[in-house]
Amino acid sequence: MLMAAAVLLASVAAHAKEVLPFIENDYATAVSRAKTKNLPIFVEAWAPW
Amino acid sequence: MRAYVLTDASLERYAGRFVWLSLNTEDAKSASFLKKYPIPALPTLLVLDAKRDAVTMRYVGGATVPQLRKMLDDAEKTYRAKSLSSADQLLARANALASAGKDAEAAKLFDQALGNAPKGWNGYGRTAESLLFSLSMARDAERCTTRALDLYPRVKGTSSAAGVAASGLSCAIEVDEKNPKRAQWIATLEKDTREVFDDHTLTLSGDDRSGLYMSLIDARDDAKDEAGAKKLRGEWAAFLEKSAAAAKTAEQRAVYDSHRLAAYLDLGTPEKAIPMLEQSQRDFPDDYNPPARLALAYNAMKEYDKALAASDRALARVYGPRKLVVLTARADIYTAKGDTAAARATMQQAIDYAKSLPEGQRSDGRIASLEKRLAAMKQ
Repeated sequence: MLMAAAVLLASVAAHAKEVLPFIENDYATAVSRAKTKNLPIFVEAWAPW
Repeated sequence: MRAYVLTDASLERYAGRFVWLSLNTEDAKSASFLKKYPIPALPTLLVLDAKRDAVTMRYVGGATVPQLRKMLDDAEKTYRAKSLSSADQLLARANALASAGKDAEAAKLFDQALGNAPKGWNGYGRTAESLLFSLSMARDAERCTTRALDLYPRVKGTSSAAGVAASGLSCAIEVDEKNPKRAQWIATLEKDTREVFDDHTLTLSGDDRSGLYMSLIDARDDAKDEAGAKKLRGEWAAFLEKSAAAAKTAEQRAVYDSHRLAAYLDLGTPEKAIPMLEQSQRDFPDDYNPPARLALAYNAMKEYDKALAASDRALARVYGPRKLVVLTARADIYTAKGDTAAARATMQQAIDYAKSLPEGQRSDGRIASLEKRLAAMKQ
């Protein structure tokens, strides 16, 4: 759903580390790594609610 | 997304093809990112090109595993492309504007991208959804509605059908009631939304389906059809209960807590939320959400002391902008209890906290809204 008012189902603090090597809340490190490796950055913006 | 999608083993093949950034918008460390890329709704998925400082892909909303795989494939193709089609160039510019919070300007370019789309363009459905989201953010309900009416037949039967129909319906309900076309627009988009809902060939995520229920309920409320709305709310609650019961992990089960509580509150049965929230409190003892939700349920049950005790537990765990929600709910509990002085003090605490948040998390609009609420409170 796209509507901002229709708050999406809550995310919980489960982690996806087992499958995808996520960097936590560190944009600068992600940018540096992306430039070095010539890779796009996938961002999941979420909140624990 | 985190409980159901990002842990799927089929995504392993993408692990070395992207740099993966998980951004908790409540964390103070995320503030500098949020200043650059305001996030209007959660989850928001972005693919960024760090070398060109460009937004390769942007999608506001959840996705199923197949949808996410398609997004990743498309985004990687765009990132590696030596040249882009005119539709892709327009989409990239629109995504950049939307990511900077310039939704009215972004909407014009999303529309142009759709107009320039070659036959079979991969980005059509997502661009249609992005257009409607930007129009709704820009508060252009009429344009959002009419574009949804135009676009629905183009995306019918695809994974974007739910987003287009339900977003259009939500916009139609926001159209000025004096508009003579409003009723017909709502009727058509309600029919479209129901069509998506009943199309079992579509693989919808749990939140997509729950969102469809919410849009259909809003439409029945708008029509002042109390019986129809109540029936849908009952079906919505049953759907959420069934989904939670089918969950394989505690994380997956708790994903449904938020909407289940909303459904129970709407149905006037807040007591039904207590067992699930107590379970979540046991499963996630450091999480502020279960006690914050228990506070809302107990407040609705008029059990104010239990509500305040739950609010205490939430406040001991909450951080970031979300603390404002817990504090305003606490002020509501004091108001309901008849303790106006405590309600005012709590609202002032919320205002002070809102002002102390770092740039990127601090919102002038939010501060103004809290100050307005405090001014409206009885002395």
